[in-house]
Amino acid sequence: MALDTTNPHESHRNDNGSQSTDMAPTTGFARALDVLEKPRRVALVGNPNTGKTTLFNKLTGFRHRVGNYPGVTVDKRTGFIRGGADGPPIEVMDLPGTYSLAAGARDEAVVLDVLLGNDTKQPRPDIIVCVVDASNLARNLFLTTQILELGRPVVVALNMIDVAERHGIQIDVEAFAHDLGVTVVPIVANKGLGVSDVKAAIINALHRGVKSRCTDFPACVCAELDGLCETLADGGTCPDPEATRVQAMQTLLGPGGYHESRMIERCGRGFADELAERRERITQSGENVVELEARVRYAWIDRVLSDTVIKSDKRRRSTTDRIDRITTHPLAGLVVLFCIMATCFQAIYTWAGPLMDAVDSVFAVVGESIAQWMPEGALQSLIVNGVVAGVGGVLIFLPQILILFFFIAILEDCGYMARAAFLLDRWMRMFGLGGKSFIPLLSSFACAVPGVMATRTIEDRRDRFVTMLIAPLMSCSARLPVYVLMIAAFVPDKPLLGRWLNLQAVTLLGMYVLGVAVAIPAAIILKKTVFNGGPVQSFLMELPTYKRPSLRTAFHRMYEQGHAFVINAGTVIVAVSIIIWALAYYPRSATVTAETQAHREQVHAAYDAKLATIATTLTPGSDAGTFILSPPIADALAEIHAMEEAITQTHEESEHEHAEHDTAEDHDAIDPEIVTAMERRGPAGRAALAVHHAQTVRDDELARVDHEQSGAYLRQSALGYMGRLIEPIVKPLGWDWRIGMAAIASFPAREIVVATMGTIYNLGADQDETSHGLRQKMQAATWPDGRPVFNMPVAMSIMVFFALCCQCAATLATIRRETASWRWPFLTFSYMTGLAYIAAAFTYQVLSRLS
Amino acid sequence: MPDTLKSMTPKHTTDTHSGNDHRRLAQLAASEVGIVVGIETEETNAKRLADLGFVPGVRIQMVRRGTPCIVLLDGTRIGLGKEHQRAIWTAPASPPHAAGA
Ligand SMILES: Nc1nc2c(ncn2[C@@H]2O[C@H](COP(=O)(O)OP(=O)(O)O)[C@@H](O)[C@H]2O)c(=O)[nH]1
Ligand SMILES: [Mg+2]
Repeated sequence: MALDTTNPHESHRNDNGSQSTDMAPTTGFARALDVLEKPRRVALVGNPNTGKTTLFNKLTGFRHRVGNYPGVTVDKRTGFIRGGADGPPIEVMDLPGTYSLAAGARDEAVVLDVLLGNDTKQPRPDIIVCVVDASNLARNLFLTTQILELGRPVVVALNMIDVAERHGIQIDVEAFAHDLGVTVVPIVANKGLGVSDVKAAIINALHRGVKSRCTDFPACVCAELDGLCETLADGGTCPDPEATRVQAMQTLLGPGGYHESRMIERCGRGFADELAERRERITQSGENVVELEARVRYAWIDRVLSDTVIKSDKRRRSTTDRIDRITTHPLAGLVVLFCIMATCFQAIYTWAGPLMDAVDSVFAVVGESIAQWMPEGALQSLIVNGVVAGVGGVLIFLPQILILFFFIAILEDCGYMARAAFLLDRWMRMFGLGGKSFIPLLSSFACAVPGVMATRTIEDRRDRFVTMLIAPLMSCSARLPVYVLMIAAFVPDKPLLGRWLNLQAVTLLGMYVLGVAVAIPAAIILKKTVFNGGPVQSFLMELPTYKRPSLRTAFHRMYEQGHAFVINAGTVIVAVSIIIWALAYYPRSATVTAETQAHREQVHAAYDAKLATIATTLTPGSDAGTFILSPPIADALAEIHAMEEAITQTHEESEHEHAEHDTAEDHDAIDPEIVTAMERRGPAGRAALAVHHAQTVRDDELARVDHEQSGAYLRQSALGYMGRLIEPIVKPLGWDWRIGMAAIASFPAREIVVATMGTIYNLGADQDETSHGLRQKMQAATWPDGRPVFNMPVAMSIMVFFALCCQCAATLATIRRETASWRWPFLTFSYMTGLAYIAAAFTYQVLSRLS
Repeated sequence: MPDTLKSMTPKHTTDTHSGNDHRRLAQLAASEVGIVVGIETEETNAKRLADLGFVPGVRIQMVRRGTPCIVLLDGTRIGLGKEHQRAIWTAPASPPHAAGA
């Protein structure tokens, strides 16, 4: 391998020496200390996939915060450079990738607004670092030449030197830097090579004079440009001459583009006429307005590169080509795509399960110990059933979110995502969308919120809106808990296709397929009706070379997403858990309390009477209290308890698989072994057996009273009232009022349905059964006539409902933000809820008839 | 973008490509190399293609035919949909396999 061409460090030092002629880096740094006082701002710009984020992470040491650009919700990452500790802080911004300042998509408009200072809340960046891909210089330099005209100090980070070397591209960095007129730093961002040089170059450039370099345009264009600059300057729309000129050029040479519409909005109709006249004059001089900028800049770039870059002519069949032969093949590619997706989802299902169980049991233990430690009452209930259950309900998602984003990050990082978009473009076209809709929709499988936000890369407005409206149909991770809960409890764990899959996994996959299957006609219908037809934007996307994905990046992305989820969705979920708890707890009826108290006393009285009978039968005239404590009886009772414990333990071990098996019923039937042991003890043993039986009956009765009490409380709570109100509506779905209630409660976020069910079934929690989870609680739930509430058809109907409904305030809020109107979130919610209801009713009616 | 302006400005066209050996990109055979001679489509699309590097004189190679297709432009693979393939006009490259091999 030709690793001998350019040593990043050495060539940089050469370059630095020649560029900053008047100062060595050290004095530059010293000067920087004097000159700088307030934080300086550095913007990282470049084409997509050139390593901006990688460089950003290396510069900031993976420490940054993610915010939003005002007005639009493009992720805005900012962080501070570490290492320049003595100087003023330097704030670095990672901008979205863009090919040109002539913005097509909104992502690109963000870059412009930042660079041109259109965004009035933020000052323009002091320095621009242009990240270019050295293995693909010509096309990367187009943007660079535009950036060079902005009148800001520019540092060019010549990234991917390693790839360029592998491709036999040799760059004379010194000459290259000379031609560009700025500092050029060769780096390998993913290995961290040259990053410190970038830092030094930034500090250096902060106080170097700005030599604005402009590509030479034909005289006729320059004349029109100058004229337009005057008009814009008179309008007072641009901050400084360089920015004005860039704005003017993009407006003049980008008919129908972002700048044109923006400027016409600001300057009025007269401006549009002026623009048309100027363009007409350019056309008359024999130039093509649309191609002009590209032609001039690429000509300049070609001249520069022919002097400074040596390309070895042989282009070997690259790894990317070989992989692409399969992955972009219309058939084989789909097979690969399917395998990748199947692997991801199977992995999520198998890996997330144990982690979720762990979260579950930790929170169960925490809740129990708090319950023991705190006095009973509203506060205890709030903390155990509201706060602890709520926090647990948030954290339980983390395993899935983290694993999913791990896969997404890996697939994106290695370059596969673009292939997926490419491959699916023709299929997406069938339902009126483009390949670019694929990534937002795929992201929606994790969460519709980033999915809706990711639609920003779709230039076509109608495509974008349709994608946004169907994105929530993709089964997001918030639905997973609902699926997992229902599947684990009601779908048998039967293997299918040997060891490869099982019925549970297939059901889960089916839920994902359902969302997609519904989304297709939904998209077609939406496109036809709401957006009245129109062709789809033609596919246009770079397919980056395959790269080895960085684990660190993937873990970082996992962390970011998990963090964002816990902070944003998490607080909502906890807050709503508390609200739901309150709705389910209040109002507390005093009559219920009194009635159940009376009930309890009756049970105790009945037990006491039984005990007394047993006592007098054995030793006439003895007192029940002392009788039960007398050695023969107490010993026998202790033995019974010990034996029972041993039996249940072996039961739990051997029948671990059938955990659903309700152990509560076994209480009544006493084990024959115990009976024999007691028989051997004679009358005392028999008496102990009788006492034990009386105790069991008493405990069961008390448990029943407790259940009745919590049921009565719940029926009279605000939530219960709401649930009963809609019970007739949800009856066709096979739901009882508790499920209806949980559905109401889950309006803000469908994942809450689990927390709600947890709260519903935890209120007045059973003291006897320590290891009973929500699954068992649900299986034990009955209609008033004793039929179980939950069975397969009901579980399926619930899953179908939650697969299709839009019970997610965060998604609706994001859609509202992205579309700047309440109309779209309203439409989304109503069409999805309607669909969900119909589909769930259909599912229940069909399945319950079949089984 | 304002519709008014769209109707005002004429549809962008380069020269006509009839009567010579110019072909649309879509007509290139697999792994064939062509030289871009012009772009013929609506303005914003044409500008985007031009900025991406599809300027007259540049060599492109068809890597995978179809809709969308993949072309190699200066070492970069770019996926292009139907309209873009129709918009880009190419002339045969003089030495047949110069950009490939
Ligand atoms: N071989 C190589 N890969 C790099 C280099 N810098 C970044 N990458 C990889 O290029 C891909 C895109 O990087 P990213 O920072 O996401 O690009 P961005 O789209 O500009 O933010 C990632 O897989 C990086 O690991 C480099 O210098 N050499
Ligand atoms: Mg990035």
